[in-house]
Amino acid sequence: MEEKILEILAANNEDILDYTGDNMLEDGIVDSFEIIAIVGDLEEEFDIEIDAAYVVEEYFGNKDAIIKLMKMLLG
Amino acid sequence: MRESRFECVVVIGCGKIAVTAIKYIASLRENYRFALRFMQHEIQEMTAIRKVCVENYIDFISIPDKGAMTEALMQLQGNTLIVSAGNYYLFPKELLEKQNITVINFHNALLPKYPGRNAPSWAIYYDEKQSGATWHLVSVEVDAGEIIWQKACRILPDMKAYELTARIMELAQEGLEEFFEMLLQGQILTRKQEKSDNRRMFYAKEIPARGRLKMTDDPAYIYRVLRALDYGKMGPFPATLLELDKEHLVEVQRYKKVCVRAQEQQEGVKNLIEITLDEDSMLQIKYKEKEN
Repeated sequence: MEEKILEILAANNEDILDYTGDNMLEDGIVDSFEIIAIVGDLEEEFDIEIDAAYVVEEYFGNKDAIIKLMKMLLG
Repeated sequence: MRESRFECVVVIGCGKIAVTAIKYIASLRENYRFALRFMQHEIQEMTAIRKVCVENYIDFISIPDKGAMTEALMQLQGNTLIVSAGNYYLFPKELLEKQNITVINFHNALLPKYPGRNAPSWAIYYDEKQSGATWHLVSVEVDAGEIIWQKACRILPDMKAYELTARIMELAQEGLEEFFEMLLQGQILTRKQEKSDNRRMFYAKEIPARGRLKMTDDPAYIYRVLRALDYGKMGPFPATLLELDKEHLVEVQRYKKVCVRAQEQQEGVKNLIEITLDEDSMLQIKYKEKEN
């Protein structure tokens, strides 16, 4: 699963994979439109619905936070 | 150091365009003397704006209350340029009539077409082949001021509202970088918007197709409406409703256009419907039961 998530992130913006901070939007690595696309791709790939409440800094701050969120949602 | 016609520049707005605009304007302080301030009205999750302000020594003031914002703007002294970029605060007449205040606004359509809110959605909904970005002077009538700069972009056949919005914001930033120094120097030329008797304002409460589709609608129309309403999770619209039959209303979760030949039939997959768009492609719509 992690591999697939990283693939999706890289397809949207390769810089996410090298980013080591904890707020990639604030740090200008991604913009809000890329976040929209990433959420859509993750939903499609894993056939889940990611509630808007999860689309916040805590869960989309970096690649590790996204992986952690997906693990939580997929049980 | 060049002289600027404006002693102070104030940026109001949110989203990507507010971030890129204030970064660019901040960079001009190397060559022009003016004070720069960001005034936040719309509180937004996940934005780089505060950090950009800190890193670039820009005054950051958050004023979510409309009345307090008006009061703060009315107190601005000296020649001031207000740059409205991704901003939903409506500037009052008494502010716009002040001699020391100039307000410019970015609008996400080719004015005079699609004034008001959610213009990219309406452009897709009405099957326009192009849209674009407009910078204009702000007048009392919403989105009706003289045009400073305008550029068109194509609306691609599968473009979603958020993708078109992103493209228009890129254009808007290009525009700002083309005309802003001339504006600081007081050398900007503007042109009046063409007047039209059937000018229609698009309000925030309006939703293309009223946010509701029927299985009996034309497939191309269904796809267009879905794209017009698509801002991912951050959108201004509620989930699109789809009437499967007269007694069965569901919420669209997501959709995708797929190539018929490359796609295996998805028969038996729960809450998924497939609609043929043309001989090469079909639309897959994943839905969930509507919550009451």
